[in-house]
Amino acid sequence: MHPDKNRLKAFVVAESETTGFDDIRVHIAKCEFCREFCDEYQAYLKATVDTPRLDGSAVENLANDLHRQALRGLTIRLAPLHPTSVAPIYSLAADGESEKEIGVRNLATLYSDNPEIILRLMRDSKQSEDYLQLISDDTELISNVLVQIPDIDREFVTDESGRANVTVDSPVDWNNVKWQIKIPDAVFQLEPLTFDPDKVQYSKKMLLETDSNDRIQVMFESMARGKQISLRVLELDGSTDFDAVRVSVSQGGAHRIKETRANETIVFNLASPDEYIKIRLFT
Amino acid sequence: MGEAHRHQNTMTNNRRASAELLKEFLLRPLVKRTQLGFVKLCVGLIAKNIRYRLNRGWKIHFDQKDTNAGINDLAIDIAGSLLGHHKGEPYGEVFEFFRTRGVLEISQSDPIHLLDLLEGLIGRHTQQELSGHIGDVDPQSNNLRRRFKDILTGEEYQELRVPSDLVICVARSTPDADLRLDMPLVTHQQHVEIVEESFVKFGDTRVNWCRAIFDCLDHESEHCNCLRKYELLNTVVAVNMRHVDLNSVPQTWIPSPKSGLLWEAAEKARRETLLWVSENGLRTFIQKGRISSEVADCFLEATDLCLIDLIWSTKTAKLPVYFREAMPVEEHGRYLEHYKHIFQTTLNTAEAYFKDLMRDFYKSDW
Repeated sequence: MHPDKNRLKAFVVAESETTGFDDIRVHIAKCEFCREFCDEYQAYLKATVDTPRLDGSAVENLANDLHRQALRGLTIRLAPLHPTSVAPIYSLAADGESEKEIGVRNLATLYSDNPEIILRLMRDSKQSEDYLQLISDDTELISNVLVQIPDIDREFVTDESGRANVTVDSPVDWNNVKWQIKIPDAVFQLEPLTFDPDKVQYSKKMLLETDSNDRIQVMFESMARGKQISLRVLELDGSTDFDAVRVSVSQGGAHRIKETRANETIVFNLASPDEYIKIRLFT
Repeated sequence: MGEAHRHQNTMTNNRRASAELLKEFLLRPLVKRTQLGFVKLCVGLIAKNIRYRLNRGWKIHFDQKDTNAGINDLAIDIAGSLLGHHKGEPYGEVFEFFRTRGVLEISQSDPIHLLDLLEGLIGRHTQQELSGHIGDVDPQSNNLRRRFKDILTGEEYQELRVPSDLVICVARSTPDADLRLDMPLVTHQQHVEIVEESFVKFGDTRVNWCRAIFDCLDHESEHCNCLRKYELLNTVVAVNMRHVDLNSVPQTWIPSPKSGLLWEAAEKARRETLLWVSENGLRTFIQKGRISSEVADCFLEATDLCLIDLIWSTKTAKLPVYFREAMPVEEHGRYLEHYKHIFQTTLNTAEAYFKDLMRDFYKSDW
C-alpha cells in the first residue's frame, strides 16, 4: 500500500529533515511511484518561486466581471437587524408645546449577509419625508436597484448613492413587512438629450448594448407637445426569447417603471432634457 | 528554529490563510471582498500550475514573447472559463465540483480539505485548457507510455493476435504460461479493476506492477490470459498519472447495472462497426488498388484503437496517433503523401457509424 499523499507532501515540505517520516523514507526508497510523486511535488513547490507576480488590475477586472455576472437580476431578501418601533406620538394639552423633533430618525434597519448590505429606513422630520438608504461597500448593490415591499405592492428605485424616497398611501408597520432588493439585469446611461431648438419636431434612433449582450432600441422624440423616448428591448443576455421585462427610466430624482415584452414598444415622457437618462431592465 | 522549519511554518500559515479565505467565499460567494480574494487565489494557483508544467517540459504556446506576461494572460483566461456561470449558477462549476465530491455542508468542512479539492479542480481544469496550447499528448504521459512499452516489449512478454479480436494483444512469454486463447478477453471494466487492484497491492515498480497484472489475469480462468496492448498501455498510463498527479481528485464514477449494459452495447457496436468498415470501405479501397490488404489490416486495427478511445475516454486522439500506433514504423513518413485521405475517411466514417449505433441504443428502452 502507498502512503497517503498528504503525508508525502508533508515529507517534501519538511525537506526530509524532520523526524516522524521514517516509514515514508523506507517506502520511497523502494517505491518508484511515490518517489516520483515527491519529485513532482518538489517541482510544484519550486514553481511557486518561479511564478510571476500577478497582474493585479487584470485580476480585479476579472473579479469585477464575475461579480457583476453573479449579481445580475438577483433578488436579495432582507432580514430585520434589530426591530425598533416608532410609537405614535399623542399630544395632550398638559404636555404643553412639544420639543422640536429630532431631524432624522431611524424607523427600521434590515440586512443581508450574502451579499453584505444594510437598508435603513429613515424619517426626516424637517423635510417631512421618509426615505430608505442602502449601505454597502459594493456600489453595484446600492446604485440603481429596485427596492421592493411585496406585501404592500410598493417598489422604489434608488439613485446613485443608494437613496430613494419612500411614499405610501396608508401607515405601514415597517418592522413587519418583508423587504427585498432586485438588482437590474442591465443598466444603460444616456447623455443629456440634445435637440435642435429651431426644429419643431426632432427624432433620433439608437441601439444600446451591454457587455452581456443586452440590446435595446431607443428613439428620442421631441415634439410640440413635449419630449419622450420610445423603448424596445431586443435581446436579454443574448436571447430574444424572454418573458415580461420591467423597464425603469430615471432622470434626476424621478423614476418611472413600465412592463414590456419582446417586440413591444413602450413610451416614457421626459421631464427634463438636460438630465442624464438611466434605463434599467429587471426580469 | 532552522531555515527548513521556518519555511515549513510560512507555507503552512499561507496555506491555512488561503483555506480560510476559500471557505469564507464558499459560504458567501456574493460578498465582493472575499470574492476578490478567491479570484486572486484561483488565478495564482492556475499560474503556478502553468509554470509547473512549463518546468516539466510542456511546450505551451503563448501569444506574447514574454513568458511571464503569457502565463499571466493565460491564467486569467483559464480562470474566466472556470469561474463563469455554469448551468445558470454563478461559479457553478466550482460548487458542482464540491457537491459531487461529497461536500454538502460547507460550514462543517475542514478548510484545508476544501483547498485540497480546489487545487484538484484547478489542476484538472488547467490541464484540460492547456491541451489546446500543446501538441498531441502531454510530455509526461508520453514519457510514461514509452517506459511501459519498453517493459511490455521486453523478454518477459510477447505480442500476439487472438482469434476473438483484431488488435494486437500482449501476454507473458514464459513457456509454462497458459494463455487460454480460445477464451474471450476480459471486458474493459474487468481490465481496469485488475490494473487498479494490482497497482494498490503490488505496484512498487513498473516492472513488478506489470507482473502483478498478469498474475491477477491468471486467476481469471473464464478469460483469455492476454490483454489488448493498446488498452493496457492506456490504462496503466492513466493509473500511473493519477498517482503521480499532485492534484488528483476522488472519482465520481460508480458502476451500476445500467453502466454494465452500456459497456455491453458499446462492445457490440464496436464489433459491428469494425465488420462494416472491413466489408465496405476497406474492401472497396483494396479492390480499387488504393491500398494493399496488409495496409487494410493496419487501418482496421487503427479504427479499433480509435473506437476503444471513444468508448473508454469518450474522446479520440488526433488521427495520426492511431496511424503511428497501427502502421509499421517504415510507413510513418508516408502518411501525408500516400495514406492521409483514405485513413481519415476510414476512421471518420467508422466513428460516425459507431455513434449511429449507440444513438439507436440510447433511443431503445434500456
